[in-house]
Amino acid sequence: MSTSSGPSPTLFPSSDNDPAIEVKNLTTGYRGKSALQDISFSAPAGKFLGLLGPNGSGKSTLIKAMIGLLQPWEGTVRVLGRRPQEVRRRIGYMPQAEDIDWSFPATVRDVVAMGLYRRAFGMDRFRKGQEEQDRIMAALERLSVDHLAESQAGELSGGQQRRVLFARALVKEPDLFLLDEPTAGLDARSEQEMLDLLSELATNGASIVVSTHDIGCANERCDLTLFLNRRVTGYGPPELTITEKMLNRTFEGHVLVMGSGGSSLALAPHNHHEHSDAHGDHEHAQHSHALHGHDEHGFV
Amino acid sequence: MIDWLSDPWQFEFMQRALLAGALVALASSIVGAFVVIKGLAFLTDAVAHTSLAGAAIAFLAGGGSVAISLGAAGAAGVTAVGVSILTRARMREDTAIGLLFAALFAFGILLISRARNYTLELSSFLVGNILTVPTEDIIVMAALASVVIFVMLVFYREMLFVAYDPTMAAATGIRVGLVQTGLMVLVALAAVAAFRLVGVVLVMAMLVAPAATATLVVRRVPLIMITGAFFGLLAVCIGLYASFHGDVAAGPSIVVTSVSLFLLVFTISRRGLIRTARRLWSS
Ligand SMILES: Nc1ncnc2c1ncn2[C@@H]1O[C@H](COP(=O)(O)OP(=O)(O)OP(=O)(O)O)[C@@H](O)[C@H]1O
Ligand SMILES: [Mg+2]
Repeated sequence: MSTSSGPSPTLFPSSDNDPAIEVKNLTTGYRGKSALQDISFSAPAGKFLGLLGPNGSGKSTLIKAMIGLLQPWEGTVRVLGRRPQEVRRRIGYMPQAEDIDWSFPATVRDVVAMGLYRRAFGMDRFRKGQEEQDRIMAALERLSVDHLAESQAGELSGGQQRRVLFARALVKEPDLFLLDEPTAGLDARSEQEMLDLLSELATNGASIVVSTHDIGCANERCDLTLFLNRRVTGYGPPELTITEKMLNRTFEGHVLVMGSGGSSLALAPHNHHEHSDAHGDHEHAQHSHALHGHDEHGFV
Repeated sequence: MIDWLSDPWQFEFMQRALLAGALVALASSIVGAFVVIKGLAFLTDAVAHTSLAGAAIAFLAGGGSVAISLGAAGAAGVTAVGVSILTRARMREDTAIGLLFAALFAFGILLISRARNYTLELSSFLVGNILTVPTEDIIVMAALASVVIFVMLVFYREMLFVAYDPTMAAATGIRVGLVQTGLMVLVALAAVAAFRLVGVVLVMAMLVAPAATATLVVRRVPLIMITGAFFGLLAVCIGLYASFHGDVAAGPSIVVTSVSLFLLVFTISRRGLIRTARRLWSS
């Protein structure tokens, strides 16, 4: 998805219609310890928003606050114009580390059916529509796992399981997707397929929030990127935010930046020790030369 | 041969035993599916043992068999809710169960040790009273079984969702804690029904064995429930025959049958003993 057609590059983009997400002065965390401090941003509907930040920076926490799993200690979170609890049916969520009991006997179809869960009263509880089954199959087809519908979900490969979990979010046909590292563990082709699908959903008006460690991908795909490290360290279209300064500020120097055409590409190595030379001397800029040919980092 | 098969059912006490056994088998297999899948066997055992305390209180207070069942159900319910509360205070589940198990079971024994004339009724706490079930007791069991079946039917989707993926269930707006507590209470109710039938020590077998057998042959929760009910009923029938013709205690006889069925299926099933042994041998 191209970003050049995006809104004029301001740091807090606005739009005519209601913002899909509006977070104001959010502070929250776990058991008395804050993980996010004073987060404020807003994103218009129909945008592809990438959350970037090092491990423990609060990406998952922010997503949990947006689905209402965590209450704000301070500040407010509004999604689709309302409190998260009120619009859960319009949100497709995919947690990072699922609490899923994979040993549980459930077929892929059963798992995706959970995405269609809604409160029902009286005899409605027992109605199992053909329409529901059709929607489940359609979601599985879009992720090319329809042939696995009757398989045990626990017996699939990790990548197949991610697809099934994404199908479970997709089957609701939500207006807002909150996806916590949806492409982790996918092979390059599957990752591209999933990102294509997300771009297509955004084009059709859905709002997408994806947390990722893949800065190159965020640069390519996202309309907006939010850099996070307990606080917001930067927010805006990627061509403005994905800069060496920003990356250093967010990743505290554990990032290598190299020039690539007009825009800069960043590498976030998994193993910091190999790159200890990057510590502290980020004024020295271009490590790009050192990096050419270091394909083992497996980046884009 | 026909006589051998039909003889037992001419007696009213055998008919009653079969009815009571069928009700318990049904309720047990329905919660048993979750007990086996989610590893709640320890909870089941604890609930059964603590229901002894409630039963003892009711008995010592001079209550009849209905009061005893209700007392047992009360104590079991307290355990289930207690475990649920302690777990949500971030205590490990097995620790919470162990604590309540020991406390309430010891309390039950304490009460029983004060009783002077405990021989008859109290021995039924150990091995059940399936062959002497009074009608009121059957009504209590039927009530317990109906509650279990009804609640499970109505809240099946929530139970399944929460058992499978609590995070997503919470994100969908399901009150996860409530559903988890509800499941534990259902386990407690089924355990109490089984407790009256086969006694405190054998409750586990009623709830675990048929469902465990079912998981060897089918792999979807509703099928595990139905197949488990089938194995449970089969065990009740065979156990009652054995008890009638072999003149042995009915409760243990049912349990031995149930576990034997498990071993049989385990030996011949696709994921069973023979295949496993062969795989180990060849590797
Ligand atoms: N369940 C939890 N209980 C207590 N603290 C938590 C919990 N989950 C996360 N934290 C803390 O909150 C902070 C932010 O964690 P979070 O999971 O949001 O990071 P993240 O940006 O998603 O990291 P990653 O890239 O590793 O997924 C961390 O310091 C972490 O220790
Ligand atoms: Mg995370």
